[in-house]
Amino acid sequence: MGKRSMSTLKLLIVDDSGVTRRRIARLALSKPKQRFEIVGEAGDGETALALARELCPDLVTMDLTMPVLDGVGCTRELCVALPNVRVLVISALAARGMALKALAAGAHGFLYKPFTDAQFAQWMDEVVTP
Amino acid sequence: MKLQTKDVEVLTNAVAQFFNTLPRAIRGRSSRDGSARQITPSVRSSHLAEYTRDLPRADYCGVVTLSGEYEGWVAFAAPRALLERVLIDLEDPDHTEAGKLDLVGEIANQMIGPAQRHFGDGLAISVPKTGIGNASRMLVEAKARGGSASPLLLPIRWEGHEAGLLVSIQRPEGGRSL
Repeated sequence: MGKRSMSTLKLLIVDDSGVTRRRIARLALSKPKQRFEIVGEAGDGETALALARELCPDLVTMDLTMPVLDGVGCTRELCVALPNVRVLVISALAARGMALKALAAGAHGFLYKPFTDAQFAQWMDEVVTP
Repeated sequence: MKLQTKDVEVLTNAVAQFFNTLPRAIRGRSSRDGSARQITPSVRSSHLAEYTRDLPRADYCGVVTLSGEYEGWVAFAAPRALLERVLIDLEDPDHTEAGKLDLVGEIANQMIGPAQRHFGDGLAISVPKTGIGNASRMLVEAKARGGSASPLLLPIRWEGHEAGLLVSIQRPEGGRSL
């Protein structure tokens, strides 16, 4: 059986913190098991929606607490506009209700901040692997 | 009603969790010869911050406003050197003023966010506001509201740098401090 070819996934990173966006980008690009192309970054939900419509990402990492349009609202609109997109929430908000709201809005997974590099890598393997 | 022991424990753990997930802390723990010291923060005994002189020397401050079933704020105050160190640990290239302000706000968010699991869905957390010298201003404003509003200070020492987490949480109905 031959090796499965590694496709490149288009990733949009949404977080109001630049330092967190850059960390997610660095960790995603360093993953050996999956190739990512960072197609864009956004610091609020409204900008994320506009970028997603233009760039059609395969994956979106989504913060929840953001200005203009928060992560739950953005996820809801994103999943309607782009039904095939996978939204992965990365947030510090740890109440169970927040995770449930995000999942109800269409998110595919949830990673709590703060996270280690290893936790991010393992989580991405779990949520990205078909 | 003051913050309960469990509340303080949750906040203390949230502070430790942030620093313990930094790559440098992880590398320290995984050293082969076992001689590497653990790079963990020390969160010393919390106490009410009555005066601005009680605050750690801080160049930067990130403030998260609390709402929903609670009202109040949480502020993380840190010196420039601590933030520079965290940026190095995160391999982040942006060491500008804007980069450090962004980081101090994100740390405040990441310290109160995990505590939401303890306080519940009724604790709503704002986007952080950041600035220089905000911790002193927040303390002065809290004092102006009355003695019961004195925030709790969790003094933090990490890698030789002093910082602090200031916490002021009240339930709006009855105005009781937790």
